[in-house]
Amino acid sequence: MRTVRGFTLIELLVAISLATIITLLGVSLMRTAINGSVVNEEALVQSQAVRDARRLLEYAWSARQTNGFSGDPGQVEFIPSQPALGALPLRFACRPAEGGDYALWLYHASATDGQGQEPPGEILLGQLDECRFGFLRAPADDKQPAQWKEDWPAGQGPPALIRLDLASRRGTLPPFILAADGP
Amino acid sequence: MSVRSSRPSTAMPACGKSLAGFTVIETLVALTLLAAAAGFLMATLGASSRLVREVRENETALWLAHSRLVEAAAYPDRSPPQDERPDRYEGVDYRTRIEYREVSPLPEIALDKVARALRLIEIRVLVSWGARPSTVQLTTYRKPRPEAAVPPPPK
Repeated sequence: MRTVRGFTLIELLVAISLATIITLLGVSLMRTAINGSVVNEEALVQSQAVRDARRLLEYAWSARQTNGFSGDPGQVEFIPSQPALGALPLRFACRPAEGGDYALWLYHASATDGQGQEPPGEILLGQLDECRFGFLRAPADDKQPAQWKEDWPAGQGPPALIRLDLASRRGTLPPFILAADGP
Repeated sequence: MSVRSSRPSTAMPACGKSLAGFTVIETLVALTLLAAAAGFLMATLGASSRLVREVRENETALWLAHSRLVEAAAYPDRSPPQDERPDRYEGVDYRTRIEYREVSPLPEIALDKVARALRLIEIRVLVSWGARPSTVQLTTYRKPRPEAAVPPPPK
């Protein structure tokens, strides 16, 4: 004689509970995996953007001309001498971008396009909470260390070093400190 | 003599095919395998995140060392510019040390036999971070300014 019986209610409930727990664990695991992957991807994309911006700024600053420099906490403008960048002044500026964040902008000409309009710039680095330039002033005498200043007087030659302080949503970034002749 | 139960078995019917469910051992083995697979997946994800974090920390440290080296090399015979902000970037504390020393351009010639004009200042920046410290180190050389010359060594 063969007995064929179905599941009891208890067995069914236990099975459904186990299946629910396993499914929740799986979903949680997948969500963690996807979130981690997205965070990692964003971090790598931001690292690459920061690297690109720094290289461009270093490249332009490494052979800047001694005339035509101006700077304040919000921007620096100078004339590069590399043929690839042309003979027009470049301006790197910290300005708001869409969404209320700050961005590091690059402008390829001087203040206006001749008609009173500022030429369009391009964003080198976006989603910044802080973006500010600084300038190293030579020490007054041998015993004093050099000083970082927020402004650079017009008409002087370029400073020995320029510095760009940045902070993103992930936190403060190390400063870009650039010398014309590199380290 | 044989003993025969009068009650039919549900575990082993007459046809020989078992109708019983999984045993506890089978269930435990299955759950263990599932847990091991989940653990392996989590470990892989954790390793991936850790690698990304380590790469970013290394890059930040290298970038910081480069900036400090540029700063220190601008005026190599004076103390570097003051920076009162802590070296804390993206939630990680970095410690920076800058070392200066005079060196001979040719290692086989002792420093005291090298003319002042030929000496170099070696500037080394070390950046370390983490509880089990990781370190990056960058080094450059600068000529000291003539007016900052030390007295020549006795002949």
